[in-house]
Parts: sequence; structure tokens; C-alpha cells
Amino acid sequence: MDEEATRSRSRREGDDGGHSPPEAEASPESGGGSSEDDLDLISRLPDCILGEIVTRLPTADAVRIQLLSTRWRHAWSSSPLNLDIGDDKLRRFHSYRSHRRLVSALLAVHPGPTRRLKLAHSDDRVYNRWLWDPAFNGLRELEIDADRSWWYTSSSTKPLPDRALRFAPTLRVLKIGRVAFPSAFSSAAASALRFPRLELLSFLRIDVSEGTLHGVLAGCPVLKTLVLNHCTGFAKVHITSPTITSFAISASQSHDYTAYPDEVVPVRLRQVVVEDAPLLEKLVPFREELNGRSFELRVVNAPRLRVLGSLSMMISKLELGAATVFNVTSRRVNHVTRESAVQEKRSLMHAVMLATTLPTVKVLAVEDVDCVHDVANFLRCFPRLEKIYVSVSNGFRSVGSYEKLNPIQCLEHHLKMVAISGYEGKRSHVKLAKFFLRSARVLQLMKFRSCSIFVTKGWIVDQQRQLQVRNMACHNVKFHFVPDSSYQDVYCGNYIEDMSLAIHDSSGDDPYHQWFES
Amino acid sequence: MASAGSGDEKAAAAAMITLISSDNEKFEVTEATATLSQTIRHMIEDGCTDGGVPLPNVTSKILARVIEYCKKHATAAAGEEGSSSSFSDAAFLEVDRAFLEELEEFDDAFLEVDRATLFDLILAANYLDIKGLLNLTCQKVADSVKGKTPEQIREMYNIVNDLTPEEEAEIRRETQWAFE
Repeated sequence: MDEEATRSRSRREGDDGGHSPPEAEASPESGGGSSEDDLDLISRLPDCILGEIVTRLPTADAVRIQLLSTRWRHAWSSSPLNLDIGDDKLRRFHSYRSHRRLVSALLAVHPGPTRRLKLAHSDDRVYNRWLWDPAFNGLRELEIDADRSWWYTSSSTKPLPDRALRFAPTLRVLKIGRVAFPSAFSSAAASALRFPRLELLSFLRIDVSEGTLHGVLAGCPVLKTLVLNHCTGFAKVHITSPTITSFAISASQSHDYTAYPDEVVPVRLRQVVVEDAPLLEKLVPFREELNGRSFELRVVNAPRLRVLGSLSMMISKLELGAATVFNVTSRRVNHVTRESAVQEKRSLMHAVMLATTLPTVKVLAVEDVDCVHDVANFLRCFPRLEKIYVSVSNGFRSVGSYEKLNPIQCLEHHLKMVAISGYEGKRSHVKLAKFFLRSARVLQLMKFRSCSIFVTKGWIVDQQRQLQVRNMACHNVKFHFVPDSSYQDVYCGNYIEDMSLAIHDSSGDDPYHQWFES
Repeated sequence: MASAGSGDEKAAAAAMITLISSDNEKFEVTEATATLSQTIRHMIEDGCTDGGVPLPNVTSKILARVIEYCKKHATAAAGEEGSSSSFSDAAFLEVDRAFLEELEEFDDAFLEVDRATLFDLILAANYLDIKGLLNLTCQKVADSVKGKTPEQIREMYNIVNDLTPEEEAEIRRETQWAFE
């Protein structure tokens, strides 16, 4: 059998990586009269192809592949290493010693090169030693995320291993989370840093000064994707980049610092300015909790902007171009439940001035709007909008209506999909849905994401009945109900595990799409 | 793509190339479709495509599918280039966006093939050097073995274990952690 395998392999390699039709391969040598389904077609693929497959596997899966056969043992060691210590199987090796033993064992049998290295916890002494290993030379993707249990106090934050920066010339992807920039790392040193090939940069809960941050950004001439998630240390971010296509940002959580009396309160994000980003397509401010810090967002020049949002009260002021301004204002809102009616103060987004329109924006996500009138104001800013995500989980009042005499362009010609999250079938929610059904002339699909206790067959039938509109603008609208089992308030994006994956490159033309898939 | 997508490119898009499969079937495709394959792109640059491009490693059945893929993706690429040359024009943006979405659906449907065809597509993508197709198909195979034990994978793909018991024991020792 061994001999036969070798023979058939060499024939394939002689083929110069090409192939002949599978029909022709059902020859007697490979098991007499057996059908195509019984043949080991995969092992006949040339080495380079097996390598392509193996390098796309998580580390533990790739390592196990060696046990399949001699052919595969070789395939693993000759394909670029994808070493992911955040891999579930590897996560258990918490101590330095066990980690070291494991990695040295891996490197002993795998000669490199390494394509991707992901480190799960950050002890700079440990990593500084490893990172010298020649098997990591030419590293393309580096991810360092400190152990999750450490993130909440900055005093326990370990510094970024400085040797991680030796990969700067070759890195395409750099994601760091819950580590600190080395204290000696001044903004001058940051300005000297060059990441000539870096396309994706993601910071998660990093404390970095304004100077250092902008110094790093200035050193990335081909950057496409930038994610700043829950970072502190800078009050302003200015984006001026001829290459950036995707930018996601969230403010840090507002901590109760009395709980950590000895902690220094870090500098908080106040303002984000997209100064000049000719290729920017996705601008994604997002939040993970209700009471996060808010910041101002100004978009000066982004002529290709296609995806925007989520716009919520997290953004205290939104300026689009020179003449469109949304402000967050407080209103008294009656919050009526079955048991009681309370008046509460709520912050809501609301238009101050509407003169600039952004015709390139196709996908918009908004939260913290509470009436049809406000939704309509957003729609006016984006005359060619095709998809809108509206979160009503934070309440929706539905006063004010849409002025038919002043038609909104995107409703007349472009809006195809409406997704409402936090939909509970209340009167105000139904009213919002009906507003779209009555006025969006090319609407094709409406999605409703609701807490799963609501979503029963009977409820859906009842909702569909309530949503029957006599003077519907378009007759072929499909309804799609998505149960949400998390029992949590829903904000745009809070189910997105790794925002950089959701927005990088062509991956996910619409980052919010997956939010309605469950 | 770094090429300046302007006049030249558009003129070239109209030129037709003939591809000839291993079983001698001829396929006529636009240059834009054909050049998704780096292999063919180089042949065109070297000026050796007159009288057709023989592809002795690709059957007509597979070539037809590969061309289907390239056609779809070439149209998308053309939209991208068009829009980058005049990116203030919203009409261009509109075209390529709708396309990207459609493209994802197309790719999903494209992968709905039997295993033998999938491997043949991988080989063809490799031989013709079509990066997107190679990535798509290899990822599909990688996803199919993710989280499975060696025994399950062997059964799934009819792989015969030709390791000696000693070799197997050795690998198991080295990789113990990956099984726990």
C-alpha cells in the first residue's frame, strides 16, 4: 500500500501540479472497481496544495493532521506555521514553563517559516525570549492578547514585548489587546517606527498616548483597516490616510473609579476627526455597553464612505461635512411597562442642521432614536441608502411622522432592507415598521430581531397581521424574524467578536449583517 | 491590483482569448476574464496566445466551472477599477457594491460541488494561478476537517494510515497536547 501511494503520488507530481479527470483515476491499482467516493483523492493533491490547506487550520488541528499518514506528516512541517496560542487547546498551558516546553517542542519539529503567531497572555520576559526564534523571521501576522481576566485593572497590564516590534518590516496584520506600550516608548520613538506593509492594525483596551498613536499611524503607508476598541490615553484621533478603507472605534468604558482608589484616571477619548480619507468605505463607531463614554465624530472628507454606524448617543456630536450636524440631547420620556409608568431622562440623537448629504452611504446603523421624525432626518442625509439597521432596544416612542409632501429620496428609490433590533411588537415598534412599509417604494426585506421569549409561531403570525398595511408602498416585502437568545440589550456590533475581521477587506460587505444571523 | 485601470485596460477587455481544455474543447473568453489567471496573464504578456491557449491539465468540465468563476469575478474587478479611476461618481460605487454582495452568494453556491470536483478545482486554480479561487476552495477543505479527530478525517477522505506503529506513537507523544 505504501508503495502504491508513492507511485501514484509521483505520477501526480510529474503532472506539474495539474490534473487529469477523476474518472481516469479509478484504475485497478487504487483498489479495484471501487467508486470515486472510496478513493483517497485528497492525499493525491500536490504538496503545495496540502500546505495551503494545512496553513488555514487552527494550530491544534494542523498539528493533529500529522497523524493521518506519512504524506500528511510531511505536509504539516513543510507548510508555513500558524501558531495560535490563543487556540483553545493551547490556552490551558498558562505557566511560562509549560508554554515554553510546548512551543520549543513545536519549533523543534517545525522549521518555520511562521505565517501567523498569536499569543494569549502577555509576560514580556517570556515573549521577548521567544520572539528571537529564527522560525519567526519574516512574520506576517502577529496577535497578542493578554489574558482576559487581567484586563479590568490597568495596573496589572503587562507591557508589550518590545521585541514584537522587530517584525515591523514584514507584518501585514498586527492586533494587540490588553497590553501597555513600553513606558520608554515615547512619541518620538513611535514616529521612527515603520510598518511598511501593515494593512490591519487593531488595538483593544490599549493605553497609548496621542503622540504615540499618531506616530504609529504615520508609519503605516499601506494601512487599510484600523480598529481602536476601548482604548485610553488619547483624547483625539485624527485620521488622514490615503489608503485606509475601514475604521472602527469605540470609547472606553466609564468605570466607577471609586472602586479602584489607587488608580490613575486615564485620558479619555473626546473627539474623532476623519480629516482626509479618500478611500474610506466603512466608518464604524460602536459600543458594547449602555453607559460608555461619548465622543464627538467629525467627518471632513470621506468621498467613498459606504457603511456608517452605529450612530448612537455615544456620539455626543456628529458632523458630516460642513453643514450637517446631529446632537445628542436629553428628553423626558415616559417609560410605560405593564406594571408601571415612569418618566425617565434619556439621551437621544437629533438633527440640528441638515444641509450636506452623503450619497455614497449605502448601509447605516442607528440607535437611540425614538421617533419616526428622527429616523426620517437620518434618511434625508443619505439619499442613496439601501440598508438601515435601527435598534429600538433602548425604547422607541414614535411621535412625529413623515411629511409626505417632502419625499425622502432613498425611500423613493433605494432603500431595500430594513432591520429592526430590539423589536417587541409594541405599538410604537409596529408604527416604525409601518412607516417603512408605507413609504419605502423598493423595499424587499424587513428583519426583526427580538428577544427569543417573544418569538413564537403565534406571535409571528400576529405580528405579520399587524404589519399588514393597506397602502403599502411595495408589495413584495418579505418578513424575517430572528430570535435573540441573549436576553440582553442589544447594541449594534456587540455580538461581533473581532471587529477587525468584520470590517477588513472584502470580508463582509456589510459588517452588521452577521448581527441578524443567529 | 496596482495597474492603472484606464483606457488601455478597457480596450483590452474587448479582446477575446481562446482556451483549449485537455479534451480539446474550445472556450472563448474576454481577456479580462482570462487574466484573472496569472498563468494566462503571463502568456498574454509574452504574446503567445495566438491560436488559443492549450491547457493540458484542465478538463472541459472543470474549465467551464473555472471560467464561470472568473467571469463573475472579472466583472466585479472591472467595477472596482472603474470606480477608483473616478471615485467621486456615485453611480460606479453603486454597481460594484451590489456586485460584491452577489459575489459572496455566488461563491457559496459555487462551492456546492462533489469532492472530486472540488479537488479538481483546487488543482486548476493552482495551475492557472487564480488566487481567489485557490483561497476559496482550500478554505472549504480546511473547514471540513476543523475540530475532527484523525480517525474521523481518515474516514471522511478515505485516507489510509501508512505510518508504522512506532512512527504513530512518536507523533502522538509530540502532539499529545493537541488531543487533550
